[in-house]
Amino acid sequence: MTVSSSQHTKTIVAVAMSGGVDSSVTAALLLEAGYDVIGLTMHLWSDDGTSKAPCCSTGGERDAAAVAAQLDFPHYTVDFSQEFFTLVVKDFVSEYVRGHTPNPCIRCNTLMKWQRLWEKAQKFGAVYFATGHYARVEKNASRIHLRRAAFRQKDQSYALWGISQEQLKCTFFPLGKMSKDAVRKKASALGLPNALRSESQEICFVSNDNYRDFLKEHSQGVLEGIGSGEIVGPGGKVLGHHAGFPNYTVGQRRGLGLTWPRPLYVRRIDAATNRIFVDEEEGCYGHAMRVEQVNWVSWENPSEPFEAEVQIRYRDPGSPARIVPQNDGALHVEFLTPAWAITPGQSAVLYDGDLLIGGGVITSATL
Amino acid sequence: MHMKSVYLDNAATTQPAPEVVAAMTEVLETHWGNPSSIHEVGRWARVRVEEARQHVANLLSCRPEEVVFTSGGTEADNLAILGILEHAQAKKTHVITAATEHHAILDTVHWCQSHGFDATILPVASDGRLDPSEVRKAIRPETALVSVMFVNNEIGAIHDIAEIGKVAHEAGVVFHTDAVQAFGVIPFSVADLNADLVSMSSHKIYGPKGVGALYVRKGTRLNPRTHGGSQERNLRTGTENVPGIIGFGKACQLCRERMDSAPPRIQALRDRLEKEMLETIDDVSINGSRVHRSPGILNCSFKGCEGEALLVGLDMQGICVSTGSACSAGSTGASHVLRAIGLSPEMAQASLRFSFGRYNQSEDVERVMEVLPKIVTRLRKMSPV
Repeated sequence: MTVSSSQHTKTIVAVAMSGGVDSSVTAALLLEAGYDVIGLTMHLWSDDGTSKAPCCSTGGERDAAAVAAQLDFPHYTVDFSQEFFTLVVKDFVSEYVRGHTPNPCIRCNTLMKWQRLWEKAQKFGAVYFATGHYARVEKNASRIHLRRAAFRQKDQSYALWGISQEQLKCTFFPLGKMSKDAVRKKASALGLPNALRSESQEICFVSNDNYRDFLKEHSQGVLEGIGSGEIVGPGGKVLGHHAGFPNYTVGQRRGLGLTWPRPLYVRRIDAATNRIFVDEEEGCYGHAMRVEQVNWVSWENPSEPFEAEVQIRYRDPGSPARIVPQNDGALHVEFLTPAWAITPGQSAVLYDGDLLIGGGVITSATL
Repeated sequence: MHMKSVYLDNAATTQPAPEVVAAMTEVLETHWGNPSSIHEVGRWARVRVEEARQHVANLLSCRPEEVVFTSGGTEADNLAILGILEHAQAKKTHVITAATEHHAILDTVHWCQSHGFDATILPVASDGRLDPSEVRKAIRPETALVSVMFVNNEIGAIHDIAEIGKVAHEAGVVFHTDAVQAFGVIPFSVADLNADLVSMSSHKIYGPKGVGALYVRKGTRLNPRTHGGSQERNLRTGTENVPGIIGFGKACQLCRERMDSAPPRIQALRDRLEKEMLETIDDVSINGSRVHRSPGILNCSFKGCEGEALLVGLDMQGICVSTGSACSAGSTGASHVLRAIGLSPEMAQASLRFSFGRYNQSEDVERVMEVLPKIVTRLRKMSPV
């Protein structure tokens, strides 16, 4: 074996790889741009391999390693399963116990990918961090801006509201200006094995999207102890019974088992009394909400009220609202046009056009 | 994929020798018969297998009929422990081993503990060695087996096997030693060990993977794990891995030829790296005995650095080593060996293992010293400590 001569100075970008086509094409584009790439896959959860969930299952590790071998860059798997359980999975369960509907993927982005994985990447020698998210970063003099993807229908900026300025400064989103179609074409052109594979949107630690079974298994008996409770209709009348409030989410229509002339939706969940409140569609619009765990992204910490478009779930087109920053750092959000099915536990993300102002977690709604 | 420049992970596996590859290719192309067949094609294969067995026996200084081929060191360890315990049945249900054993031993012992058997797992001193008198104290009337590895794979510590074996035999207890990191690496004959069972592995000594052997002293009774056929004196049935066995035999032959010259040369390289590291880099500590140590292994901790980050930094410069810290999927937490010799979790997580072998040269030491100090400096700057 020959001894290699001294290496050129490398500019190393660490690519968070799930094994899916987006992060794979991300790595390929960075290589073409002349960067030295290392692929990192987080090992977050051990299941028996039956889950088709996209990120961080052992199948994903294999796929990511195969892509790295094919494109010829180093790939490492990093075991964060303990932290993931403590920070993401436990929160997922406790949110359901409170009657909220959590978004663990966003928490994983904030706490795992951009904190722990990025820290690990820097220890490995990386100076930049890249993911296959459809979003855009703009590095300006005073503030780093996060924008929606150029192709709105693929925009994933909603899931990225928790990233700090310092982290964004070192982040690349190579797919931000591309369409999904263009990404797939690129993958095919490169002969990547996962080019045509469908990517599921499931939570990675819940196999077959069966979150109810997951909650039963991991709530340490708490959720099992929640028996059936009342379903309360418009006007306060008890219309029937439900199998336990964690089985429901705000805005849900299916599974109520009620007879009513018009469709009924879950309006509000009261965990304390194990009651589900339902109403017809018009009754499920909310006027205001409280948002906590606020992170300011493209705008610096505003102290005065302002108007913005607010997205309250991933596929929400957004509603205009007046944002009133509170003394305790939370936000009071007053919708200018009422918002449908405001769900505590979900993320609220504020936009100025395609500029992501900031975001937080919805804790309560005023209907 | 390109070949790495500097391979310093010989304790994990070794590059097959060219003569080994040639011997295996020849077998795959020509002597591919089933050794159990009566006809000529089978007889050719049988002859080659028995030649290989003789090479293994020569290196161990034992009788060829005492060599049982397996799929590797792990299977040999499993066969030794489970085979002895199953044979002893209700009469003797206790096994003694050490805290620093390889997982092939410890996991097997843990399995036994959850299946009706009793185990004593003895602590070791801070140099990694087991005090033979601890074994004597732990032996009970129902002890069926003592199993202590010869050379520790992580820190290279060499146990006083002869004395431990003597202690076991004085009490009438069967003694097994996992010699995977010793066989072909340091000179010894089986008579020196006072051992009834010895595990060996091919891929640690420039042979192919997927083959090893268990030495079973004549008169030792154990139950097989595999059933079906009568190969290997019924102790490990199934059609023999002929190419693997031939490769293993050739590897043993080559080790025997080099047993006078190789260990000192390898030790000189290891000692040189150790010296230069201690002189150039602050806050480096050597883990395990520096006196009773395998010639090629160097295990050290770099205060304020994550072993995994050191490993990746070296990997990206083409240098292959191993680490006792584990954040790579498949293992959790720091090395049990490093914790057993008293290292704090932080220092255990800050460790690297370099293991030199036949194909290493002095340029490899120079290459490491070109690169390693800079990585350590960079990581320490990032550390909050």
